[in-house]
Amino acid sequence: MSQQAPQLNDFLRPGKPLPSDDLMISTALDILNHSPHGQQLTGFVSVNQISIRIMATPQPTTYLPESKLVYVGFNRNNPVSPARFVLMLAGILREAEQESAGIKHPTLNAPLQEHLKVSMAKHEDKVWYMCTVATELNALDTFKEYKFIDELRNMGHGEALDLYLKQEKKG
Amino acid sequence: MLNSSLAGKSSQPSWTRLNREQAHQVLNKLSGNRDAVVFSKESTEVSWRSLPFYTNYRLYRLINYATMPTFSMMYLSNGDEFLTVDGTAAPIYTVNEKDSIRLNEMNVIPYLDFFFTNVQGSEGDIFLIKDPRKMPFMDTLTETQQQSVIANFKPLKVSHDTAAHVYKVTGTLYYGGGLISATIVVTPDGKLAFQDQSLLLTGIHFPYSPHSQHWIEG
Repeated sequence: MSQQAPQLNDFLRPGKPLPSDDLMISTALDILNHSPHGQQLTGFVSVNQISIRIMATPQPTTYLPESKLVYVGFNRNNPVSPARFVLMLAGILREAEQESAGIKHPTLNAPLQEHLKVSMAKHEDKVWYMCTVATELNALDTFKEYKFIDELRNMGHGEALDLYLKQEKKG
Repeated sequence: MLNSSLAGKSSQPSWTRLNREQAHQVLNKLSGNRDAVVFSKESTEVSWRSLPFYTNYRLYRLINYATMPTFSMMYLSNGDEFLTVDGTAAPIYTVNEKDSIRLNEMNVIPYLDFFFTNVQGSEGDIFLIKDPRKMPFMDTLTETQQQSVIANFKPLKVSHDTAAHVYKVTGTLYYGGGLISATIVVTPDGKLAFQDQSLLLTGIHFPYSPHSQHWIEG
């Protein structure tokens, strides 16, 4: 076969050199600041003194263990793209904003229906917000190469994005 | 030499859930680490399972049920020291040294499964295929791709190179969107190297991680 196989021994190399956590976070906040909805999130971070941390995880993930503490996690061997990092941060900050506004996950012993109702509404709002931020940033020439819309699709939100764009067009 | 029907046949040990007091002890140990990820005591379940190639270290799983979706992290621990399973080989290689990993023809495939489940490469997940018909997301491939996967598949073979003191596992792997035939060399201290690799098929993309089957997103 003429095509080259991915080099399996690369699999075992230590994590790729990355900018410092502080630099990744401040750059992402700076990028978010260029979008009106992203700006709302950065304002929320500074007003409420939200702590943002990066964690090393096997798969890309975000986590909100406390209302003023958010994590963005990714694999150091296979880091997420800057665009994905920005969108992941936007999503988890929106979740923190929900908590701050009193829209919290039901307690563990709440009925399943309540969990479904609240969690779905929270998730829908979060994804909708990510679609808005991605669309706003994608429209800026400065960030053309980041391909925010494509990245959002790669994250598995293609269906939500199509719905969002359809509704935006109507509006 | 063992074939895939024998090697690694034993079923995966199940998770043992710690009671509240034991779980709090684990969380207290973890919170002593300055860089530890925060878990709430009220909503976190802590479980463990043994690993057949370690004597003193177990795999711990922490799940915070207060988030949607739930958030989980894995740790390798001897009950005192907790090493975060972070997606790189480093914590596994560290424990291999500390706990003197014990590999044999029966547990070398479970070791590889454990390794590949918890370590990603620059091109994402690596997946050791034992039976192409049971490969995750086989149904997301086109009919032609499915036939190619089955036709190109090479069953797992485990052998022990007594002169070099290494185990050699030959088989088919998924990595970087392709099926690759390769020999995985496993040294007595659990370090991996790949030899004789050849690309069998390209253009295979899983929608999720083939290990966690979780949506890969933030």
